[in-house]
Amino acid sequence: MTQSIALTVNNVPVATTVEPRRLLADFLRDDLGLYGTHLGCEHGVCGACTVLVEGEPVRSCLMLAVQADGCDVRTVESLSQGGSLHPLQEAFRKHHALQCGFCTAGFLLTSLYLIESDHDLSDEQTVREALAGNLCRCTGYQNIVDAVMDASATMAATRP
Amino acid sequence: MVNPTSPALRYAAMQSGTWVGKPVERREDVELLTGAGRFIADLTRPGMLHAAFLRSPLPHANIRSVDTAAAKALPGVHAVFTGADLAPTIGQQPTPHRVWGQKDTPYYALARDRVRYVGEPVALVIADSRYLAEDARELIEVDWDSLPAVGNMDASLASDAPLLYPGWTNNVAGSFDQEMGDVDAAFAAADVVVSRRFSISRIFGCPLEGRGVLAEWEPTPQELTVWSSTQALHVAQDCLAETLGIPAHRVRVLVPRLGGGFGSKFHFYPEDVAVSFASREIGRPVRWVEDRSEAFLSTVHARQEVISAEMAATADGRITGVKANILGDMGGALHTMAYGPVWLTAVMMTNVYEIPNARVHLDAVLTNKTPFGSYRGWGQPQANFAVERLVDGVAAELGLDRFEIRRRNFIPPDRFPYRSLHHVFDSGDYAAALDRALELAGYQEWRIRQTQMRSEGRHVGIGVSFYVENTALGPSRLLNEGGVDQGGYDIAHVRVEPSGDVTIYTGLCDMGQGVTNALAQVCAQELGMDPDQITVVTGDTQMCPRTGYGTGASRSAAVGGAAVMKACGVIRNKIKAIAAHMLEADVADLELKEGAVRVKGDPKSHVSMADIGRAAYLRIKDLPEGMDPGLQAVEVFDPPQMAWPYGVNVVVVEVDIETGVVSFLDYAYVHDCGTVVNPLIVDGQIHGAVAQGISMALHEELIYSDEGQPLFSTFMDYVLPTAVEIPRLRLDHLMTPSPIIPGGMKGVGEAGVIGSPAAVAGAIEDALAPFGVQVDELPMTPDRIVALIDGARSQRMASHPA
Amino acid sequence: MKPPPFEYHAPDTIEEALAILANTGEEARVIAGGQSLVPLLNMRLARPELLVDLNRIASLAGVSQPNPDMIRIGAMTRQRTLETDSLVSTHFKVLAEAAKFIAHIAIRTRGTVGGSLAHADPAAELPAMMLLLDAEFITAQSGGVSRRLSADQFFVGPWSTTLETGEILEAVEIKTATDTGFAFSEVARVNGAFALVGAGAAANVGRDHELLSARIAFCGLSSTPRLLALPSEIVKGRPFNDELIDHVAAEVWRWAEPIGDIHARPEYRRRVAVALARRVLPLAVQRATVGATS
Repeated sequence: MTQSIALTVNNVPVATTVEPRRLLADFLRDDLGLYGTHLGCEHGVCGACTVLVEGEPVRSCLMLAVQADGCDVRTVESLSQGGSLHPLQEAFRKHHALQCGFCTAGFLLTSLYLIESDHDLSDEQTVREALAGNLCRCTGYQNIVDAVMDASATMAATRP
Repeated sequence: MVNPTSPALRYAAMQSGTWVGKPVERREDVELLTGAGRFIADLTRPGMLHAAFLRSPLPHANIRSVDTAAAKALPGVHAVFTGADLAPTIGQQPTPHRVWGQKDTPYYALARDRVRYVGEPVALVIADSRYLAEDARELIEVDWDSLPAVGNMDASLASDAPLLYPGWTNNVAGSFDQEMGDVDAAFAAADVVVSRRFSISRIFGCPLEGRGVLAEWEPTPQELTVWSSTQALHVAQDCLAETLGIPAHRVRVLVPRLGGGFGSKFHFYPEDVAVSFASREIGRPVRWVEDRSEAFLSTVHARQEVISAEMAATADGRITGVKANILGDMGGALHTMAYGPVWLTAVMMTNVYEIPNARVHLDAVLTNKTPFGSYRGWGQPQANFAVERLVDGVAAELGLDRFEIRRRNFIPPDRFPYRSLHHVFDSGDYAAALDRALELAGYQEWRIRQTQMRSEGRHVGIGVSFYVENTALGPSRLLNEGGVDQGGYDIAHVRVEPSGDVTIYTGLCDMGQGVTNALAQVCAQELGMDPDQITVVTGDTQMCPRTGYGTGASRSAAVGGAAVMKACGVIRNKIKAIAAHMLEADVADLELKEGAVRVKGDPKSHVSMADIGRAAYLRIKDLPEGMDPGLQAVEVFDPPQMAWPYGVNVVVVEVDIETGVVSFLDYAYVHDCGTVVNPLIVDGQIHGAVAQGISMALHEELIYSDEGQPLFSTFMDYVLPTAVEIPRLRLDHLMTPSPIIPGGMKGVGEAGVIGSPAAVAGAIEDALAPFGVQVDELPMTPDRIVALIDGARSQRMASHPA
Repeated sequence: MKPPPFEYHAPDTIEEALAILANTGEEARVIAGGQSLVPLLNMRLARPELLVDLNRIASLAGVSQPNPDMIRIGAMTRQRTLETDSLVSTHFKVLAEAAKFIAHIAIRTRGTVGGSLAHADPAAELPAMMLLLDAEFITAQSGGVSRRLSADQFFVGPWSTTLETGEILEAVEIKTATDTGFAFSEVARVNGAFALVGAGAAANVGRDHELLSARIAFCGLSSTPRLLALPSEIVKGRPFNDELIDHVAAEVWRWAEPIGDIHARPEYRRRVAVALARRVLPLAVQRATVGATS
């Protein structure tokens, strides 16, 4: 009782079959070995499993793999290129915006979406609201907010 | 004094050595940021099977029978185990933490004949996938004989309460008393006595990553390898050996990346045993990963206490006595740490104050709820909440300022080491921290603004709390005398490699707090090297030396760091002896600096660590005559006492009295944790712990029905704060090295969570001062705040009829 | 927390979807954004034998203006679109305001307008907003049958609507109202959590800034979304002042049928409903006044 799907994950075409009930998160993790996407609640609240589907952030625990048929999916593994960290990742490291790192991929992808979709991230309250869909139990959020604001400014400054 | 406004300036002032105090970016970050970190749910083994637990849906019941036939018949299912399958070979769950007068509360990896809380494991399904295991779980039929249950301590302590353990006379699993001075005389002579009853709700560590275990049994030579999300790998090793009946040296525990722990992963759980048993039975690796719905029920709960306390004081604001009667809600059995956290609440009931007379009593009360255990701070946030709220109460009675009452009662600096109710405090200058906090917070300015804002109809309040934190847990003998079969020491194995690089092996675990960075920086400082040349190996019982206790009680940087320092001292002596021989120099003229041994004042005369390493292992002839090859040391540090950091929370909140919503206008925090090894990490620990304290004060609550049914199963029921609810902290540090820890470090992991609930509660009470309410219950949800205001209004209406 | 097994169809057209549903009956379930249904599947609280996925039916998505006086929102329009769509922001900015309170961005990018309405969670924002905006619900059944229902007819109880087995919500249509001012606000335990109480207000004012009519819709307050049309004797022709607000507050207090749960007692919800009414109504009136004079 499986179905064929074909999608692009981190710019790599993937064609395979899955059970309809298979969650996108489990598909990415256990079928493709992309363990950077973490499952923290499996009911859509914590945001650890956030990935980008068609450029927009979604909970991969609340999407079926069959629903991603034909879609472009990006996970945290796509961020750093050629061994160097993405500016967002650099900012997270510089600001100590991660401790255990379990929620980090979700924050990175949410932030990447915000920056790439030209959200105004110059105001702290706006940033806090935009990040409120990702729970972090370690950092108290302050350094994450600082990192995202810093990365946003850096990326805007270097944009052609 | 450190400038709090600029992190760069602050960090520069915190650097006390070449590497100690430097904000070095963390070594694990690149791995974690790129998604390359491997947590328990990311590990696989060839032939690995997946586990799912059937858990009790009833709070209290006898098991008549369990029918697993249909589940076993499902394709893809390899086995289904019940308590009956385990009974012949598996012992009861151990309670290594044995405290005063505690009773034995046997419980098992899979319940045998009785369950005592919703979520207690009853059966275990092993299948090809988690999906299939959950399918099969639904096919298991249990014939229950439901029993009356108690969902709270009042019900449990009622004279006709159903008993959780047959043969007992009540549901109290342990009691404890401690007293000093002449309490009755102090209260009889007091000018003012404040009595309050504090209720702290049930919450838990709730790391974002649940627990997990992957067990692999090798039939020849009968060895068990377990990957476990534990903070205490030797506790796990010992307990697995004990329950499974395997010699401990045949149990290897490995710890992958942990997605937070906060104490809850210090514990040893039924699932660890059941999954290991299953692997041994089936002969294949088995993995279980706790999902969120079971995490709420199967990971230890914490905090829940009711503290009835009184404080006596003189008219000039000297606190002369404290009395407290503490009830701790233990759930259905005493877990790994028994009632340890409640005990800590009891003995911390004098906080940082020179209170000569104190009497505490506690009862550990069983209820039909998930067992109670560790969460960052252990029993300290509860004690701090009670004491600091009482101090505020005395201040209010006497018309004293909240800062002033504290200043008048601090243990003075010249009284250290100071013997408190149970512990000896090593050092402290509490008034200095208070003064700094007063200034950092802009306390006087806030008072002026508060008056102005009140006149505009806004409800703004300022709260303050002072905390002291129990860190560097040890010494071993003190723990043993307390009844705990665990040590307080740590062992560091430091080895210089032939390349000149260094490897540190430690029994401490990294659960996200970054301990490996701290150990590497301490080592780098001691050996004059770059931390990048130092590898820190954790999380493997086969390679790492034993830790007396495990990673908890804010002890890693202090006890583990001191052990590393000690080992480095031994190595440094040998390095210098080798270098003196090679350079034909006097040992006294040598220094270790920038990866080499150098003759002071002679820049040309030096020998690199690589040369030293080569001599030690490969070119033995370069060593002094008679010196043994090799360059390593294994050293133990057992602290002579605990180290006691301390600090101040100053919180300004505004309460929307119509909706009960609390918002933060300011949060200032000053602390002293001795020598700071990495200020990035220290700040991060404070940020995270304060957020958890705020959440304890305002948001989190595991609510049960009176009959023991949990009324939570999701993050919609159990509310965690987001980036919107947690305010920006303004931090400042004092750095007074601990006199009893080499290096001067005190712990910092739990600091932020201890004082924040009391400060937030104090701020709310101050904001609502026009209504004359008392904030003695946590969390202060919007509903509770509105209820407090309504209660005060209707009382006022009743006493002053229009 | 893994879903039970089910079959899955993702048709490209409404007709196809309706045909599948007609052939299966009660065991089939429609999935829209899945942001409420997939958690229920993961917890095995929902166990459909068949999922009919509407995500590939292009005609169900999007906001349009079929005539100058009407905005049509397709059932599969993402909640996030309410925040970004220019038609919505021109005519019903309040929908964008309310949408920001629905969970978080990564939920709203998948969650749909129709999914939220058909799920009919009493704490959800959009059902209350549809009551407030007097939206018309357009449904489709197999055999070309279509029904038009008022919001009032659509919501019948907690998580309960008058949608029949095999029937799909196709769109909602809302009449534009330039003379009406709207506002929305909400109190929740934390950002993005379900509303303890949410309130949306609509107000019409006359030339002299006197109130002509006003209504307030609530979510989270009662076991269903509810609309309070303020009695004309309280509002009609009255100047908008503290006295009127006090009357409105008293009316909300009297009218509310608050529910209790682990987060808040009924008494709390009643009080917050009043507090929110005091906040959103003045804003709606102010916006109506600006609209009326501009």
